[in-house]
Amino acid sequence: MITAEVILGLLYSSITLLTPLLLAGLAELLVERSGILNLSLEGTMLMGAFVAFMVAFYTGDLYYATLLASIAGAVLCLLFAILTITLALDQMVTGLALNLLTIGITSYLYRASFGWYVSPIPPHIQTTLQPIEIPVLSQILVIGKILFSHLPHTYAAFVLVFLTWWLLFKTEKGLKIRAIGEDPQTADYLGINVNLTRYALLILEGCIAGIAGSLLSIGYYNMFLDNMTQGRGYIAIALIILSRWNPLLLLGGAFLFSFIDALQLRIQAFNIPFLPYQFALMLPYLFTIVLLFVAGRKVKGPASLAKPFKKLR
Amino acid sequence: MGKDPLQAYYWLFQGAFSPSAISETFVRATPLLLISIGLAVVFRAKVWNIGAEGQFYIGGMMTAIMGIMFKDLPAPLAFPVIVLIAGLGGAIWALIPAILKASYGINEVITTLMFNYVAIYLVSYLLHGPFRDPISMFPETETINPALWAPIAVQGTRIHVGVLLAFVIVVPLAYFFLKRSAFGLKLDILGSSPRVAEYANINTTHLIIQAMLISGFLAGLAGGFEVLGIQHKMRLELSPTTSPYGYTGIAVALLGYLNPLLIALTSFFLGGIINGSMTMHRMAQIPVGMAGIIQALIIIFILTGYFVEDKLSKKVMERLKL
Amino acid sequence: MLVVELRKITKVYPGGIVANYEVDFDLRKGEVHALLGENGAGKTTLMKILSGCLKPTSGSIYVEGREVKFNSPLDALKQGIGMVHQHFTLIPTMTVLENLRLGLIGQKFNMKHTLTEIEELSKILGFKVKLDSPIYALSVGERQRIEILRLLLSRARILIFDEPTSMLCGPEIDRFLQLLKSLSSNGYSIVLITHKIREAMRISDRITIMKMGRVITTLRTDEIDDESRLVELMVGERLMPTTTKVAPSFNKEPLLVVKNLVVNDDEGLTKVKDISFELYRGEILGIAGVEGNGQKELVEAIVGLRKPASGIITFRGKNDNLDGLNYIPAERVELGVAPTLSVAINSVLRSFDKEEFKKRGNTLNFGRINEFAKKVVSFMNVKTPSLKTPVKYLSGGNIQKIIVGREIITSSEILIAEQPTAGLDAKSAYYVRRALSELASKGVGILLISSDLDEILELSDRIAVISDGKFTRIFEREEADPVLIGSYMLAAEGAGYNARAATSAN
Repeated sequence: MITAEVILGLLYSSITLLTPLLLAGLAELLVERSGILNLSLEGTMLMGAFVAFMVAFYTGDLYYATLLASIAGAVLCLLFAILTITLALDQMVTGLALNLLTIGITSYLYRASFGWYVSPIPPHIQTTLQPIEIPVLSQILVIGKILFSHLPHTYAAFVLVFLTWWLLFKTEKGLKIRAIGEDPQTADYLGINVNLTRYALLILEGCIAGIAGSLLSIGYYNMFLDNMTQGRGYIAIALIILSRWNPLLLLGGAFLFSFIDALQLRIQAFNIPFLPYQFALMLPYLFTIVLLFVAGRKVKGPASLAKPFKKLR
Repeated sequence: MGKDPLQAYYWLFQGAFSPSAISETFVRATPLLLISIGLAVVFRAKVWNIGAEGQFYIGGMMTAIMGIMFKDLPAPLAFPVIVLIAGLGGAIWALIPAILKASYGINEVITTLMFNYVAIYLVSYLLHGPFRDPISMFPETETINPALWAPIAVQGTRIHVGVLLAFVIVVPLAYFFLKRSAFGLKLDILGSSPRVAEYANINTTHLIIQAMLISGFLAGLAGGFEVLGIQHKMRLELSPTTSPYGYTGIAVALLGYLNPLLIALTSFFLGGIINGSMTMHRMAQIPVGMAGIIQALIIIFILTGYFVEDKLSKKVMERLKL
Repeated sequence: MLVVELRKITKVYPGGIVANYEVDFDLRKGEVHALLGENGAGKTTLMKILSGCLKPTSGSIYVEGREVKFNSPLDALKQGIGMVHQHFTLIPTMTVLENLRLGLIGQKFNMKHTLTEIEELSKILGFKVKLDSPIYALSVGERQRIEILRLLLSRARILIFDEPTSMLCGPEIDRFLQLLKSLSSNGYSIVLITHKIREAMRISDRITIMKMGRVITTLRTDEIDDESRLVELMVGERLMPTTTKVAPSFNKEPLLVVKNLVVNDDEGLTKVKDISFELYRGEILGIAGVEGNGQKELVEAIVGLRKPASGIITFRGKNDNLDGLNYIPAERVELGVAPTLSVAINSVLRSFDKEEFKKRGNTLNFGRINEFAKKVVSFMNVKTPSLKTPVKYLSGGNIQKIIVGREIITSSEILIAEQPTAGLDAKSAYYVRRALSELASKGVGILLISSDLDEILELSDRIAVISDGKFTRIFEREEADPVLIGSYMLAAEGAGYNARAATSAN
């Protein structure tokens, strides 16, 4: 049963599944480093998935779909920024509220477009995003196929891991971001524009998370489903805690999680009699909780995370 | 869409608050009410339990299992026991995230949400496998012995004792509990600042766990009454798909400013919107998801309301030169 | 040559408190100018205006003859003005190098260049910099030097120090004052905010005295021959009589016994090193010491907010019986009140669970709670529109009053008072001191932690001196002497200094 092929396939789909988590996680990681906890990451991904699908369905153009998913994500995160930074509302409550809002909007608009009584086959798009084989590299034995035959998003995500790490720890911008996350008062005193930085990072997060979400509807599936992110935004936030707000560790954590997710899909497919598919479906969620228990206890994040900041002057 | 909006709102209102619809609105509001009162308890302490949906499903499932197991017990004995077990089921489902939060500082938003998915899949397994009614086309349990159903409280409607219990007993009790008891005050202090709570000699670990258990218990209870009073069996769609009770409860609790009396109003209001949007959909073909949008927009208004209140108070204080 | 001139500066805080009124001040190139005055005289406010942290309500600032307007500390820094605050503006989890770099934001940065510059500057300043060490691992003195280094790196020529020696002990103070001298001889112009007359006399070229928001006078230090004249100018006539303590009436019944206590801070550094003492019924035990020598951790361990690494704390012979222990925390606003809750609730924050505030059925008796809150409000003269107002809308001073008043009025057997009068106006401070004496005469055991040695001397029956996490000595009231106590505060710094101070006291 367990052949080399199965294992290779497992690794390949781990990397595929890793992509949206990693993209969204990296963006949120930057935002959290600046002291903002954006729970609406989940909603932003869902919005991205929805907008991408709608654009792809009506225009057939996957580039526009991706672009608009990105813009829609940015708008949602901008709304979060206005509510939590300018109006200084509770970040938890705002994040939860926006998630309810996106679930409501997406499922409403979906039905408004396609009607309530959806036929047995829900509306779908003809073509989805296609993997790009990197010449030469993809020919390398064994790992070539696993690593170098993916969507451009995947390559981008891997590059972003190192870019994010470099930005945070090797540049002045990163130093500023970390200073804001640790102590916004001091950062402000030293002449760093706290609110502007946070706004910029949130908008960036919206762009990236929107694209991450679009992968679900126009990359892996060819349709949109209600609440199709299924908690991936929250899982990304859990992975950030586990990675101790370090992009390199996030890559590891996201891979581990995606491996479990890929494994669970295989278990479903194999239809193992003593393991009902529902238990396979539970696996990633249980795994997240266990991981948090093992490695996420009393982890200290950025000191000002989720606390409102008010300028003293 | 090109439909007459006035006509659509007419149907919304008809389906929600017209005399013939009002009893159904009470029925719809009951699970929302129980869940959101439970959420008010934890939210007051700024503990964000978003796992009510899972706790609700576990409560419903436990009820169905008990109903099938105890079908021959005399109803006056079995009914309260089953209801209690429904609540305990919800409480147990909240216990692990509660301990993880209270003792290890693990983010409860993530764990409770993860537990929602685990609960739904667990219920799905039980309904497809061991507890599936062999005759039914759908994954659902067999119908519970009518002797165990929640007695109807108002003849000619579906208003059962659970509705009465929620509106007449739970609401005032919760109000009293949150506003007048030392426990309620402790929750407020913890919500104000965890460090201050420690300073005020409050055992925050115990308090978080207790609050979560209460919250889970009420969500489980809601599931129990939904099964015993309305569905009479456990189904996968125990919660309406477009506005699941567990998540809508979050909106209801926040809309009600975490105050049980206001929550009674907001859950009645949102129950009406859910029912009304179904009528609106039937009569005017407006999608049901509308209810979700309305409630989310209301939350945004409320959030802004909190902000305005804060600003105004500060202005007043400056005027008074204090 | 005047490098800085402040003309007719007035600062009115929101709420109407006038911190500065038409203040004139100037600074010459290369001088050390001491700004002398009591707490609350408006020294810090004036210098925060000069360094761009605060905007003046009216008045003008001239730097080298040109009028300037500052919107932020960075603006001031661009004009060469930098300030070292009492609360450092360093980020504890970041390294020294990262913190230095944060000070250079908005300037061209070249790592190599900066590193050589750091090396040169630290030679001038006479200390070594551990660039890769995180800030939290450094001592207060080291942190202060990093702050200075950062200002010098960003080309500040005018340096303002706010009570720089209050957190330092013995040799570090000497070292710091040496540093100021060498800075001024290198052409830096320095403002030294202080309330210590000796320090001002020892180091400064000129002294400006402030009182109640106004400048009283500016004097050349070498023309002052009588220090007591400065005291008169600073203090004026005393507003309030000092409390007179009746002869110690306490018997030797211990309420609180601490044995071999060891406590670590959040970073795992041992802050309390084997402390043992007893607190008796009816006494005030003062703990004197320079801030940061373990007082905070000691108190947190006693009140149960921090787990000791080892040692025993017993209350009246029973373990962990915290009933009847009241506590005025030094971190008032952060720890002492629930900001979103009302004045009434905050008046019973630590006692609402007691029988006296309960009705039948275990519910809260709001009548009694309000009654009690009224007592707190009238005792401390708290200004609040109503008892229902959330305390977050009150000013810091009024919040202080609620906390201090509450902990004093609530009946207790032990009271732990950390800096009980800090930040209070003279009248309220007097009431608080009197109330503490009265409580002690009623049999309450009071642990008084204060950085104000005068307050400790005035109130305490015994004085324990804490230095580097140890009690270096416990004085009886009659043998207590400020100079001797001062020497024991620095005891952990080495016997040599200790002995020297002790001889000079004799």
